Amino acid sequence: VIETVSSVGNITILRISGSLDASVSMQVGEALSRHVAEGRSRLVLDLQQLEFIDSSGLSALLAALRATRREGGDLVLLRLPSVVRPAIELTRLDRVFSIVDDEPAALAVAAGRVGATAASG
Amino acid sequence: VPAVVRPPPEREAGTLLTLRLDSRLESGREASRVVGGLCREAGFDAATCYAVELCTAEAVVNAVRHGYEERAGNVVEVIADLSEGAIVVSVADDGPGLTSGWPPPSCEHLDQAALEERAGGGWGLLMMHRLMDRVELLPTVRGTKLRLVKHLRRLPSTRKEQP
Repeated sequence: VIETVSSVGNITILRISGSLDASVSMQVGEALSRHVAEGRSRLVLDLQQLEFIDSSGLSALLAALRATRREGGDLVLLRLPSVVRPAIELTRLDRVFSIVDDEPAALAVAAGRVGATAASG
Repeated sequence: VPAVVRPPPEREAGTLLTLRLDSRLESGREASRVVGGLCREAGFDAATCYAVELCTAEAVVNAVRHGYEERAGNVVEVIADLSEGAIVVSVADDGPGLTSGWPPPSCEHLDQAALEERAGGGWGLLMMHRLMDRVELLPTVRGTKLRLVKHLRRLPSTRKEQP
């Protein structure tokens, strides 16, 4: 469900696909924690192929976000599918996560060069 | 929350399906796929289908976590009923039910820092309340039943023409 796609400078791009639900959220959370523990605290999560996310998945992403920011990094959500947006908007977590639609913008936000709002538009 | 004490029916009129699932976290997604599929087959719009799918998963995971403390080998029963323009999904377990978190807290007035620091619990119940038209927590003879009601909007292309 989670795989590393590439690294651009000190930014790691990962892809989460399929279903981020209660049965896998702990595993995904641990994978993200490992990245941060190993010094990779600037993460971009490409969610284009994400089909489903529940509250456990959101909690895993939120925990990872906090971990990256504690280390001076950030976690950016890239290409969030419209079908899963309500879960994030209803919990107001769209105000917490940086959510962008294209990779250059995601890299700029993850690098701390620009805020998500500026990158989006 | 109204306290309605009655045994869960074996099968109600209009019932589309009854699932008896093992009390594992995987059962949440399993149930949600089936119930979401029913909504799609019935021709309802994508947002409604996703909302029902998500809330079914949350309700089953809730039963596994709070009813059985994630111990496998117990039964979570999911009944979906489609009638009078609404889908009703009931998720029942034999456990003690929620001891806290009901009704779910609102996140409307939390600022960004508070949202970011908020711990894991509570998002599921909150989403159910926001996405469903009605959410009821009902104690039963054997345990607890969470009942979700969502009024449905059919896609125009699937609506039958009147003669």
